[in-house]
Amino acid sequence: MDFTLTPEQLLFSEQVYRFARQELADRAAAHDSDHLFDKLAWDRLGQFGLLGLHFPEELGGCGADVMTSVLAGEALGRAGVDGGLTLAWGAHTYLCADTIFTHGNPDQRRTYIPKLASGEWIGCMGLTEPGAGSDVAGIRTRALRVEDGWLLNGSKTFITNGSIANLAVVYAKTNPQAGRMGMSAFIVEKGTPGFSTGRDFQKMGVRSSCTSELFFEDCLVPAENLLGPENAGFFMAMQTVEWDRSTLLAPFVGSLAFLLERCSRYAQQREQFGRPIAQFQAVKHKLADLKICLEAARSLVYRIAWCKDQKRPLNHLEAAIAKLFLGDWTLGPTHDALLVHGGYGYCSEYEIERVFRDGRLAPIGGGTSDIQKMIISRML
Amino acid sequence: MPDRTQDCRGGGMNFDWTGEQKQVRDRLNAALKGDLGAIGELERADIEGNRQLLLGFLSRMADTGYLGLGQVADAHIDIMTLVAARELLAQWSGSLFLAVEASSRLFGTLAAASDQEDLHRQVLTPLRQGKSIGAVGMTEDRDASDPADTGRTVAIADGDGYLVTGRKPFVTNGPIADWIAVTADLDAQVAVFFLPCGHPGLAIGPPIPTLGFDGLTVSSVELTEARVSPPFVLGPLPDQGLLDLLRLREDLALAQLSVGLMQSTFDAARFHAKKHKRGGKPILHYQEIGFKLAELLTLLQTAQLLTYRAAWMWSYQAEQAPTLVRCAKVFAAEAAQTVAAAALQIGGGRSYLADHPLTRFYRESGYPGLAGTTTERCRMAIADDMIKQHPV
Ligand SMILES: Cc1cc2nc3c(=O)[nH]c(=O)nc-3n(C[C@H](O)[C@H](O)[C@H](O)COP(=O)(O)OP(=O)(O)OC[C@H]3O[C@@H](n4cnc5c(N)ncnc54)[C@H](O)[C@@H]3O)c2cc1C
Ligand SMILES: Cc1cc2nc3c(=O)[nH]c(=O)nc-3n(C[C@H](O)[C@H](O)[C@H](O)COP(=O)(O)OP(=O)(O)OC[C@H]3O[C@@H](n4cnc5c(N)ncnc54)[C@H](O)[C@@H]3O)c2cc1C
Repeated sequence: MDFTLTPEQLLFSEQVYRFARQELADRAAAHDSDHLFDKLAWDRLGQFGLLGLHFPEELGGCGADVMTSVLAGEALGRAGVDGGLTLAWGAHTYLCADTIFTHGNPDQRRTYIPKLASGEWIGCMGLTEPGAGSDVAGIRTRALRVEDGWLLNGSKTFITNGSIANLAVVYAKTNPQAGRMGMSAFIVEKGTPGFSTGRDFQKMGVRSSCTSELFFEDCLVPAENLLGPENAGFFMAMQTVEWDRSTLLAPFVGSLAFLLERCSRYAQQREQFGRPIAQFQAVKHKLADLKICLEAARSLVYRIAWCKDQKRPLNHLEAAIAKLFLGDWTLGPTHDALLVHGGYGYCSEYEIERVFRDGRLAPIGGGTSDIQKMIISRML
Repeated sequence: MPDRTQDCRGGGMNFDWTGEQKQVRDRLNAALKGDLGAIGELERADIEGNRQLLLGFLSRMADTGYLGLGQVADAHIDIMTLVAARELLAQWSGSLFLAVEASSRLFGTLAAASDQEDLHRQVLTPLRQGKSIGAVGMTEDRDASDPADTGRTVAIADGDGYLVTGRKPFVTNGPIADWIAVTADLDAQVAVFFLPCGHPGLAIGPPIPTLGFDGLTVSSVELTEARVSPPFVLGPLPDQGLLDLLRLREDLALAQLSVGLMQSTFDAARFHAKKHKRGGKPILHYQEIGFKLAELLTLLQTAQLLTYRAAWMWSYQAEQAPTLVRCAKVFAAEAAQTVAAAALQIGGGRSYLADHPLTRFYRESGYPGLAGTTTERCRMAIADDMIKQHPV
């Protein structure tokens, strides 16, 4: 049992933190209130190397391990980068690009990874449909083998980066009779005839990310755009959500550190009844709970990262536990952070309410808390 | 932001026990695993039987190297070895766990802190050999922050020794101990006095019935001008350092006790849920039950990881270690109560019967939060650390 970070990992995470504070954090409020994707911040993320962190250098990445990626995500959250930008980062790098990297053939990797790793192209991943969210195997989008490729028909919803993406990894049924064994993944480029995107949703939080609908109407996808083996899509999707339950959780861990820092300072500055509110036990109680929750969350997410770095077989149980904890047990302390700030916490200026809103995605996206409980209870 | 460079001091991230960390655990397992029935006997034995059983376990533990762990000043070096081994004991029996902690770790640390040869020979050596039992009386009824409060234990110099007078309301192992260490005020400082049982002026109260841990003996201790000679005095202590360290070690042990309790509780509840059928299927397959168990496992694993991480930080003497130990203690102690209450619900009517293990775990789960540094005081200390770490 050993929780050592390497000096390189720690140094890198501090660099990301400083970069994020200087170049990204101040832009969050405006983009959140306007429901606007921050393209400039995106380009900066790309220049810094964060969009392809764990890919090998020859494909334009930085060759980082998973632990480093988790620390980078944590640093973004801790710096006060909004959940919209970190979600866009996660969906692009891990849900989309990593699926291509992990399951793609050498041609697909060479064609797409460098463009995605630099941020020149934006990627998205389309799994959820209007009629199939938690029940992944219930998707209805159909891919029919035709002479010159695959014909896609159907629609996707809640797709992060959907309307701004240059490329989508899309899951569809290739053998509808076979249930989960009849799903496959495809790479669909923007501009492919028959592929269009609908409106972006107005949302409670993570507002600077686009959440879109995707439509496929007799959309002909070239045969070579099949990603991974035919009918192996379900397992690929399950592997993808492993990232959901590790690296994508890291910004939420970071945002707990952000709240803790803000609350600790605010409580010392704000005076009521003639003294700083930090002297009231009820306020201190909340600071303590934030710290406890932060350290608990860290321990869980680091464990997933370590397991992934060890190339251990799919660790569904540990990943589900981390996701469940981050989804459900953070609500109390996040709410406490709002209360420590009193009326100011309720106002956008102080950024606390944004972090609160952004955090509410944690028990929904990438598999709801109920689904995590289902996974865990089945393994008992 | 707290300095995290200390996070780089270890030997490389690893979420498994290393062979070295596991050595004592494996030996302890080999020595006692076959005897869980006898450990259960502790819960039913009378005082003399309890003492004999405990001495039997202690002498077998002595051969594994378990008893000497975590006593000396640089004990942080083998803290992970202690944590790995102690985890087993916490699952086997909370009563045995607490009795051994009071004797080997609390009493043992105080005895090891003395530089007196007489004390080492007469007290520490038999303790490490598992041939004697120690107890510590620190807690008092008085309000320590109120100098006018008269309930304190005091020592006064008398000839070439000291006379100690006062009362300690809770002393674990009191009824069965060979030696008792008590704290007392000596010229406005604190000193620790070691007394053998049966010593004139030392009266051990009757065993106190408690809510849980039926196999643990606790009593009050009354001192009336009990004479102690200088080799058996530690201090006066220059500051609270040693006692604070003792408290923190106890807090880490209580976090581990909570995790062990949760593990036993969870195992029992899961076993029941898989076996017990309603509506033609095991109740585990109802989401109301299965999902509850999922939440309990989440609490258990989170508490366990947090406790490991706190211990690991301590093993490298990281500045944040005391904060992390308190975080682990609060989280684990509260989680243990949640898990015990939910497990009782899963067990249904059967688990409400007086001798059911889930009832026992429920009774025991209230202890870790109020023992050692209480949950409330831990939270206040964590908050103070946060305020210090984030200056304005
Ligand atoms: C901001 C945002 C971004 C997203 N980004 C993406 C993306 O990039 N790509 C993508 O593919 N998807 C994305 N999603 C979709 C997300 O993964 C789904 O919303 C999520 O999996 C839940 O599916 P659902 O919304 O259909 O809810 P439903 O599955 O309809 O669930 C509704 C409720 O029923 C409960 N429930 C469902 N089944 C069970 C069961 N068997 N037992 C107990 N309870 C159950 C759920 O827990 C939930 O409380 C995104 C969603 C949001 C909000
Ligand atoms: C079975 C058993 C065995 C024990 N064995 C031993 C032993 O061997 N040796 C020994 O020395 N002691 C022993 N104890 C005592 C134990 O360590 C104490 O009970 C514990 O330290 C708490 O102290 P207290 O009971 O005086 O609580 P109190 O200090 O009276 O606290 C009562 C309540 O008030 C809260 N509180 C107190 N101060 C504050 C504050 N400043 N701010 C906010 N809240 C506060 C506490 O958190 C708690 O909830 C034992 C106790 C039991 C029950």
